Amino acid sequence: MTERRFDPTTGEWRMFARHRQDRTFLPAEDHCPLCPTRPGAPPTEVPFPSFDVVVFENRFPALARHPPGPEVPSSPLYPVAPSFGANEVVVYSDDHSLGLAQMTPGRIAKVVDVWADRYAELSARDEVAYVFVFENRGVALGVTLHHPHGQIYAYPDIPPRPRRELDVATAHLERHGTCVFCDVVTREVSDGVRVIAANRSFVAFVPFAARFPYEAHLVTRRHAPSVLDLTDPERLALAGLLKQVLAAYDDLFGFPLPYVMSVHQAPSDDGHDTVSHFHIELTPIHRTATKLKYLAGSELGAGAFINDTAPEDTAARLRDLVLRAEA
Amino acid sequence: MMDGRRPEEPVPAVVLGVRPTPIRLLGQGPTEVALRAVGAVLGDDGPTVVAEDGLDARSGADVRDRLGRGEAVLVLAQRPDAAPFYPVAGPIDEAPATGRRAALGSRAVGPGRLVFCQQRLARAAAAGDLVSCDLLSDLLAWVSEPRPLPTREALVKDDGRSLWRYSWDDETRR
Repeated sequence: MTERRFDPTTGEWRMFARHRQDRTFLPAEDHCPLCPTRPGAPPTEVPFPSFDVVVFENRFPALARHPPGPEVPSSPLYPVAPSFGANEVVVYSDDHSLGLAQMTPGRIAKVVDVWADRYAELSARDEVAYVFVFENRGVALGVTLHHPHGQIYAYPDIPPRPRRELDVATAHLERHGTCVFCDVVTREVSDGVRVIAANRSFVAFVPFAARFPYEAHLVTRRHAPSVLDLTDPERLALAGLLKQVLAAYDDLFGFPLPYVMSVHQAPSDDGHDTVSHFHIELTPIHRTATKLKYLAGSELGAGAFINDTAPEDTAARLRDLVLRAEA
Repeated sequence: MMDGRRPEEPVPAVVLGVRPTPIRLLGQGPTEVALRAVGAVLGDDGPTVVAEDGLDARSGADVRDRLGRGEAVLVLAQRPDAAPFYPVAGPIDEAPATGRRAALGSRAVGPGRLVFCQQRLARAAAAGDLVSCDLLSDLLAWVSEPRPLPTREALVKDDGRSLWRYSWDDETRR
């Protein structure tokens, strides 16, 4: 069963993929399917003895180029659709322990180059409306393979959170005549109290109304709708800033901090460029070394987040860790 | 704009901390003023830069020649009617039927390297607009020291899934 069902009460499409229950779950390092295939060893997903970056179509996709037909009939109240799209796995390197935080900025920039290439290719497909690059890091966030990797989902429609972001940005543009993200960057640079680190092209900050205690957004100073619109120096600047923030995360509690990294950018068509502003959202779920921020009643039931910390305080702590790492 | 008024002639912006960057300029106009403002040293050395609206049959042939010799070339924004002289299809042609087209980018052209930007920057940068100056400065840095582009090798696995291997011709393994 692989299909999409529409929820008429929320106006959202949901994906169903029963076969994903059987996917590989936390294999030992010597059985890692994302490591290169070593001479004389059993084949992995990657049929090379070494590689820089590899991307492949997920063995257990929720979205596919040629999906099967839905198992249930569609109706006016309950629309059902085939799961057109793509699920890709981006293996950052052939080193089983080399995560983004341990890479050099030059190496991270190569991953950004791959995001750009995949974004260009997938967004050109007729059935793709939105290309979403992300990484789940840490078992606490549902990671099933330890080898550092990210994923790319190419959706046949714009998913709810980016959709909401675009709607809000459109309303802001109509009311103020400006891009809301450009205004936010200007304000954060001016205030300074929530800034974690910054360089010539990007600013990293804990959002004014952060959902999670150590949430961080990395936003381009210049209005650039997508990764394709970044210059090469901007890609390097993004890589450098991403490394700084991820390294601070790992220094925060003395262990690799689980997080979700979400890359938000323009939908596949050219119609949203004035309201799409490339940025990365990092959402770690820890609020202390031993306590997690759970999505409970208010968050899951009402969609209203409660944050037990002040963004200015958590930003100061992360900023201090960045400065110490530079010292 | 400066003090709310547009100057009669482009005035070089004062940009601190610019790095002198030798370039070879094809074309003239506000681009020349803007380039000098962001640290470009115009002469016969360095990568070739085609000024905004400076692409024609003669400069187009020069660009193709430079790219063919393995050099890097920056082509700034051009009018659509310059398409026949552009070294590659894409940046100023008709919009693709699907997918996004970025206003800037880089690609290999034979042994050479093309960096292009279809966003107009020259007049604003020449008038001191910092965002335009920064972007122009980035483009100069890009064409002066281009990072290696990845090569992509595609294969189809036994079960029909696609795989792409990206490789770079440099030593940055970590």
